[in-house]
Amino acid sequence: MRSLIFARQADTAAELLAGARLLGASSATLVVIDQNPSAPDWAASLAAERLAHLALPEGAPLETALESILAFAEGEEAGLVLVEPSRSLKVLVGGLAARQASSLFCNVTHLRATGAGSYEAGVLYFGGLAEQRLALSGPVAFFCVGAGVFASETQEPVVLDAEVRAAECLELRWVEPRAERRGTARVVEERAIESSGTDLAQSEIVVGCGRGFRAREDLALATALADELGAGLACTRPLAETEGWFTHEQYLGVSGKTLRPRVYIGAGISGQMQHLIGINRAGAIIAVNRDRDAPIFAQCDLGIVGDLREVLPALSEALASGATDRG
Amino acid sequence: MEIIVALKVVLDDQDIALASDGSLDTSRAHQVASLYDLNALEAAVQLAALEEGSRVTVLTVGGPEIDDSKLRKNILARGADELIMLLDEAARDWGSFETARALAAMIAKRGTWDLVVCGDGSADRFAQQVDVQLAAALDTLVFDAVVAWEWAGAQDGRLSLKRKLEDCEQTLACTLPLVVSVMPDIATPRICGMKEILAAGKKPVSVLTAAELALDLADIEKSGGATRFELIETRAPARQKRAARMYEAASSEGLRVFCAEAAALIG
Amino acid sequence: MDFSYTDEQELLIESIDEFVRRSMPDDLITRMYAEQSVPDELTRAYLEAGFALIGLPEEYGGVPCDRVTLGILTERFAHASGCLTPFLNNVLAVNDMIDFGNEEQIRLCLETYLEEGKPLFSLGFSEPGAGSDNASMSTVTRRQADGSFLLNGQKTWVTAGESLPNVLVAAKDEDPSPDNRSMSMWLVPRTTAGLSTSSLHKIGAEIMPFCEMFFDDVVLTEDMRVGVAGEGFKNLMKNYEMERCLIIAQCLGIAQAAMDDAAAYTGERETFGKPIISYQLIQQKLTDMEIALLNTRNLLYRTLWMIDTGQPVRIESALLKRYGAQACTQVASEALQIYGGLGFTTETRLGRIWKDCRGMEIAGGTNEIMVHIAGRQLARRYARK
Repeated sequence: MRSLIFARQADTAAELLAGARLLGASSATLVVIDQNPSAPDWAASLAAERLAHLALPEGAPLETALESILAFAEGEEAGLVLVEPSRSLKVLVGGLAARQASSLFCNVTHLRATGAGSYEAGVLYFGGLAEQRLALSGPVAFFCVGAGVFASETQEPVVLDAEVRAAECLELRWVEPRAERRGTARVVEERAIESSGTDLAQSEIVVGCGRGFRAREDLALATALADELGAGLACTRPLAETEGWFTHEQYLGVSGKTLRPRVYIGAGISGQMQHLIGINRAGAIIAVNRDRDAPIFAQCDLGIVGDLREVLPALSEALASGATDRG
Repeated sequence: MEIIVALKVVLDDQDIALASDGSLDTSRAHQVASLYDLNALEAAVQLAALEEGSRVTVLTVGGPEIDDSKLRKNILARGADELIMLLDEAARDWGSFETARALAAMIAKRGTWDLVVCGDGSADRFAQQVDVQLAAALDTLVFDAVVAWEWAGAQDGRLSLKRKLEDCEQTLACTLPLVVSVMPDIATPRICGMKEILAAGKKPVSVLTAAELALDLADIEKSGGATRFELIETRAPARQKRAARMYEAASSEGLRVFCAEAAALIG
Repeated sequence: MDFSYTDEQELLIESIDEFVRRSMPDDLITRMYAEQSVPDELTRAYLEAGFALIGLPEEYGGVPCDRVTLGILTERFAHASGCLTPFLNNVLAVNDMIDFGNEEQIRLCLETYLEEGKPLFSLGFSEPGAGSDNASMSTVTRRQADGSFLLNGQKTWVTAGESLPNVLVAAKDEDPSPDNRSMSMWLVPRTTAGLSTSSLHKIGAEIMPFCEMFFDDVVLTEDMRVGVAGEGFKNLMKNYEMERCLIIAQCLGIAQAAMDDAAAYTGERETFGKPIISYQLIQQKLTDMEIALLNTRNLLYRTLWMIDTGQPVRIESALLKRYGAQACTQVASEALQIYGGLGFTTETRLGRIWKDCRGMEIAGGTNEIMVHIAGRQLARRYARK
């Protein structure tokens, strides 16, 4: 069985490639779509048999690339299509699935092959309140899989098969959307969202901030603690989406990132299921909250009821003096 | 402007009880409009207000159990002009592919349209694929993650979309028709006033079945056969058992011990 | 008998809950009681959400509704927020003007109300020597040679008297003696020469401060008169019954909030290693509190239903006011007791609720006046044929 992988970044591409092998794919073709004239270096160094690249012309949204990849993708006759959970790729690959009278399965929590062309997938139900196990079968299946899903199948980080390398990179030709397809769209402005700088997936310790931070100034307390620990700084959805105090990449939960740090410190986080789903595989969870009834306390290793403005500085100080003691 | 809002009716997850064996008890759960679809409806109603003579029609698809007089009024009290429901036993288990085909048939039956607005994702599966599938069925472009829009007026006919993607904020100049899905931030659902609540009961509601839509379910099943899926079970995920050692910051001793234990965990 | 809510009433309840969740966080409520005022933004939000229009006639931009629904609105708002608000008084005041004012006065009053959510005026009815006993009122107007009138006297417990721009004063025509039943109502700007106020300090319900008001040769002109000359007494009596019902609806709402807190607490608080709900003394408290709430609720909605169906409720509204205010105070008091020492601090809202309820045993007619109203009528109702 051949597979198609759609990804935007090296780490996610690597994990999807390894995942495709786990699911029994005999070969993998990595498709990268961006605005560069040729495929990025990272793509060539990954363990894919084939590499295809599409350069978007200026002003063309990625979502309008369906016609450009259609002939190639259908020609691949892939039995398995994996895509990383990025907004634009979900639309593009979802459209590809629709063209093949199929659909893209998203929010997959686990995925395994149960036979040729058949799979068992876990998908989140009501934001992690429950999980639905689905049996899927057909000549082709489309899955949108986030970081850590395949790793959790093997219970260890997926190891890449270093021997397979794409022999060449196939440059796909841009095809204008068909005239009969209705509606037009052109990108008139794109402003990069500043990156937080830390790679949360690589952070051993993560400090998460929730609604308990009433004022933006208070975030300095969390930053100080994260600095002391060399930890990554993360947040719940409202702090990124509503308050705009954090970038999207720092938000953990159902529609954000899923992490498995060694220690997670949740400050002012009540512990809604939608957030916990992003951190409940952490080695240890430490929780600070004013509300003794906060659900996070039922799922932590260590918790304290108190004002984070009191607890966080005390914790930073204790850790600093501990570090000094140890020399 | 003729604006269509695709709205999913789901169980109210606040009423879903977890049994000790991890199974879900939904017997007390009411049917409600999926939360983010209300943001989509509000955004659509606000957009319609910019263009005289605009109409907002809400479409929903599901099993017969989703029909509820209070739910109808709740939707129509939020500024929608009309509600069209497809109620069919078969629709209960539909995925995004089948649902989108049905919505497309409902839109075709209804007549002209300019814009379809979907919510960011449904409360239950949050697959974010009905908009994508619907655009394919309508042969239209689709964009998600819309956080704001600007309508330049009917003469101009252009809708400017502002999207929030993972690494950038993107502005698109679009012409209609178009399918979009909007992020919750685009508009806060209104609080229904008594006047609107009372008026809601008088707004038009039509109920269709798959047969009336000339929707050949067998055909949908067949064409959707590229990937069949069946639900094996729904259950709460097993939780990792954690120690939950609790302290109180109100006592200085509690705070001290907490810090010491935290330091030990952090190592 | 149908005790269920209609779809519309259920949706109204959902809207109220959502409004309170969005616009009335606990710290705001605490601040409103401390500062003895409701911020204009909240009043405006209440107006914009359409609640302020409920119960006003349609021709004035309102949404007319039955009294039962008005009761549900009032109870639920108090229940969801756990506090009193002046919003109900505002709509009652506007309704008074609609009932008695001339077109110009109504227009002026509604303009302000639909713009700001506040009525144009406070109500100056009670006097130190004449509360429910309006006939003993001694504030008086006397006609002058030039056709104007001089107003003299004193009013008290004038809610929001120091913040609203006008006061609607009830005063005897010409003669202050109890025998004179001829009375008129006047809309007097607070800044009129000869009008002064003095703050009163409540021990509860601080969110709605009241004051004393003094009139010393205040000059009135005929255009300031509201309603027909001499008919003020009739006007005064007209809305009392509905007012009693809505006072108890508020009481019931906040008492229910106290019940919510206390009942949940009995499962959390432990003594001697057991949650206190395991003790029968606590179980009895909850049981009696629930009975009191249910009785009040049943009496309230039955009385409102009677008004809706055109039945006289002179007796029933008095029974409700007397029973409901005491029952709700008792519920709040027991809720406070369940919290023990914590209940007697400002850490919980129970003390506040208790004080608010306690005040309602006086406001809008005391427990004792309700006996005065109902007692003789009951004797008549049960007289042998």
